[in-house]
Amino acid sequence: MGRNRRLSFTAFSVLYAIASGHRYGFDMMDATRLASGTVYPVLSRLERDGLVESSWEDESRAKADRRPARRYYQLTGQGDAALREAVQMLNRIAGDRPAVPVLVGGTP
Amino acid sequence: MLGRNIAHWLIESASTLVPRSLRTRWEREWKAELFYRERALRERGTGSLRTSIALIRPALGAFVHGGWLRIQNPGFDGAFQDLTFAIRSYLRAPIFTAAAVLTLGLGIAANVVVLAIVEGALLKPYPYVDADRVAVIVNRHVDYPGVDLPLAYPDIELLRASDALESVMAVDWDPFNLRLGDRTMWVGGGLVTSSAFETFGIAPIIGRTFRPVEDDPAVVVLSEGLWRSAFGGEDMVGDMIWLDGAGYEVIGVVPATMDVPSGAELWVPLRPTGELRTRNSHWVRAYGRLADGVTWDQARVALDALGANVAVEFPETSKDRTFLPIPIREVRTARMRPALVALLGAVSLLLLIVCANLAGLVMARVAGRRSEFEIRKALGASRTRLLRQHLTESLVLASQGGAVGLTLGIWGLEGLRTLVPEHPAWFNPSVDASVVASVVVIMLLSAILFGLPAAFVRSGSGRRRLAHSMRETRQSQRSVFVFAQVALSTMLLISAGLLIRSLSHLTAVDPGFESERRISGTVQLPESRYGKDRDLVRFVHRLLESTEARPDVVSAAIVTRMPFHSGARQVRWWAADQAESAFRENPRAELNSVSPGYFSTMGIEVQRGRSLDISDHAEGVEVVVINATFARKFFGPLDPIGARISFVQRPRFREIVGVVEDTKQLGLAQASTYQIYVPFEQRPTARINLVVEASVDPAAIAGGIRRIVHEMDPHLALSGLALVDDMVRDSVWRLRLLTRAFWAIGVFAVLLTAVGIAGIVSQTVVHRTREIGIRVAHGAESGHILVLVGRGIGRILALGLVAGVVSALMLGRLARGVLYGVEPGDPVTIITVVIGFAAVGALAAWLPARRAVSIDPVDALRAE
Repeated sequence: MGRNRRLSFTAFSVLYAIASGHRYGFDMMDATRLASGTVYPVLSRLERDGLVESSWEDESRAKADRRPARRYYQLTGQGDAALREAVQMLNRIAGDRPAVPVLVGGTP
Repeated sequence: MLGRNIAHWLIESASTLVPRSLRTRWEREWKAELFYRERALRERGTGSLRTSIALIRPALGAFVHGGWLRIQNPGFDGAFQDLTFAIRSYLRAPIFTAAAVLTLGLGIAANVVVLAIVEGALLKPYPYVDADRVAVIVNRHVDYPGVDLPLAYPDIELLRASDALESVMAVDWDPFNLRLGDRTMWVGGGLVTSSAFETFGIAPIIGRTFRPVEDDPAVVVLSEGLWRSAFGGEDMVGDMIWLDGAGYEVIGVVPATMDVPSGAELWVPLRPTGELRTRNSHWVRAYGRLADGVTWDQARVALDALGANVAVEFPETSKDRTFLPIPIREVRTARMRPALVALLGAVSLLLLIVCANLAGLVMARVAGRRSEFEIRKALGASRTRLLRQHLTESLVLASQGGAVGLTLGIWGLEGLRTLVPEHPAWFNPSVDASVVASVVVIMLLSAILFGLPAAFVRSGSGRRRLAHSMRETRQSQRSVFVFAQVALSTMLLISAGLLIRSLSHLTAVDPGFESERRISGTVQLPESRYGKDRDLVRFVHRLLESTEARPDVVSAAIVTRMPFHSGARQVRWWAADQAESAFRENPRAELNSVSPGYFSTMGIEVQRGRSLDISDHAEGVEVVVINATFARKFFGPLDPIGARISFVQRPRFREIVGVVEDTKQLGLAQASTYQIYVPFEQRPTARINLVVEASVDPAAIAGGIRRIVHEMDPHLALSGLALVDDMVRDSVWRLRLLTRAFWAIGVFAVLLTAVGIAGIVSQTVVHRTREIGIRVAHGAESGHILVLVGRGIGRILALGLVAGVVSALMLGRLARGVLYGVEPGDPVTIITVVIGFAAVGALAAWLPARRAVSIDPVDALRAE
């Protein structure tokens, strides 16, 4: 899909946040400092485009913690590839100066 | 907890946007996140207000998310249907729609204009690199708290050595006569030290800027504007230009973003000489850039410590003084801020009034469509579905209002530009993306404000089956809106009234001189050719002679600083019967050098002694004339004539020969100051103001006197030529503009409120038709019927007025900064507003109430 090439800055931030271990919507907001009205539409778009997938966390775990279950997001293979490509591009631009560390693996 | 409830309610409202297939999961995710967030905050011990904000803010984003999902699934489960239905229903009620859209549009337009101005003045970044780190560095003196005083030249070197500052520049304003072919232009100029442009992060377009040590001082940097307009934008680095009759080499051109000092179009190196180099003269304005990583607090502490050291080291000149860095924006907006804050408050109030008004209208419309909703409910429409329909309708209305408001606002801003006589280059309000974004937010908020109350009444209808109680609910809710409108409008009207009284007080102030048929302009005599006092005096003689030779000139005179044009020089002085050190206690006086005809030309009354005359020449006895305030304060009942005073610089006793009436030097609002006039010949100045009294329209002689100056010396130009009448009138433009704005907003608010009052009364009449009919049938008099119908609204009006007056009194001290000669609690204003508003309210109520009186009992009983 040509979409990968057009990864917007916000989409990149969200993907990068997920890859860095911020798996819940609100955690991503904190990590990226983007507003909820930005992060969530981006998440929905990334999910539509197959770059991330979401699931509900284990109901019993949430119960033990006495709270409703949260929905978490993880990178798909395609999302991981798109992120790597973007990071490589940034590093190419940066030349021999260090720019963005490549995170290994998107899924915990 | 309120914050949680609001956030959950927002999520539920936003969920109506989400396609049904996704809705349950969507709501679950958002609520789980909010729950988790709230608990985390609570465990961290965050305060409940901050927790509420931290919950409500992301919940607002849910609307964006919901909207996005909706757009991704268009037409799905009826949103599109809602939209078309809303549009169709508005088309069916064109008058309601037009009225609502226009009302909201005007309310939003007022906000657009004010937001654009506020953004331009207070928020938009200045065109400097890291503008938020640029400081104006001033001296503060214990005796003059809050006054920004200039620095001494040696202070600049000390500040440069400070670690808190990356660079420091000193600047003085000096106009130049620029020779271009056979004409001479007067241009504003800056005398600056090196690093002037670096401090603001401004790089030259061509050439270079000043070096730390400039070998040849005759170099000049041009502004882009002057470079293009006067020199056609050619590469002219290395060329010579003529300033004040001397040649200067052009070394570079800088972009228009360099606007320090204000109005400067070229810059030459600052090279103070003599006394100006010492600590005795405080005259330099300084700007600095904070060093990397230094906060404003740290900078303040560092410069304060530096100031304390200087005060210890040089007690003679720097005792009780210290340095203070102030963000450049704060300095530039200090004078506008109170007015802008007041305006922002006014337009927000106006928008609230508009929303309250629309809420009433929408509620009445909903009441009219009750059967439609009942039928849809009976056919199985869910509560959410109807709520969504309602929200869609409100949003459609709000977005039309927003579009109209934005358009009107852009026009209004254009119109405003023509009303404002002058504004600094950095201030250029425009409707940009962030203003548009604010309008969208305003739009959404207003949709919620005016749309939701009606939705709640409707959704309660299931529980309140009785038509009667339905009616009561609506009636009382509409009353609340009318009450709010009355209270808010009262506040606005009182503010407008206070401003009108301030303006009339201010324009009634006697400036102390005649402005009619007077015209004035400035000439700068360059030191290169007018370096000696003799030369200055000779020039002034010839200038006055040639000017007065014109048949249309009554008289002409010279003054160093024209009133309303610029502040006069402040001097320290002591009287012959005081010790010399008394100058420390005596307040400073404004000093002006004037030609003998000044007082008569300006119509300034000589109250005692004599005016200055030709015997007061350079070789004559040194004399001064003082103003009435000076005489009263220092001589009281004694006769000041014959007393002697001396200035601290060039100390020599001068005899007081006359007392003249006070004049306002800086503007009508200025309090009386101490003024001293000396004969021009005894203290000539290089910068002079020519003031001419004409026997004809003074504008007609402007060209003539400009030519006189040019013919006397082709290197000179007469600048800033203006009618003195205009100078006085323009001096109050800020207050005048603010007054007009408040007046317009106030009138609009009252009209809206009147419509609201009329609406509720006519509704009362309709609902009580039957009752009124029976009373009329029983012989009730028309006065009695009017009381019956008007009693309710009268109570609301009275309560609203009281609430409005109380709030105005409470908020009044905020307005003190823009008022003149009137207290926020001014009883005349308050009583006038209350009586006037009550009259308007009564009229608005009476018009529909008349109908009640003419009700025919037979028709009334048949109607039900």
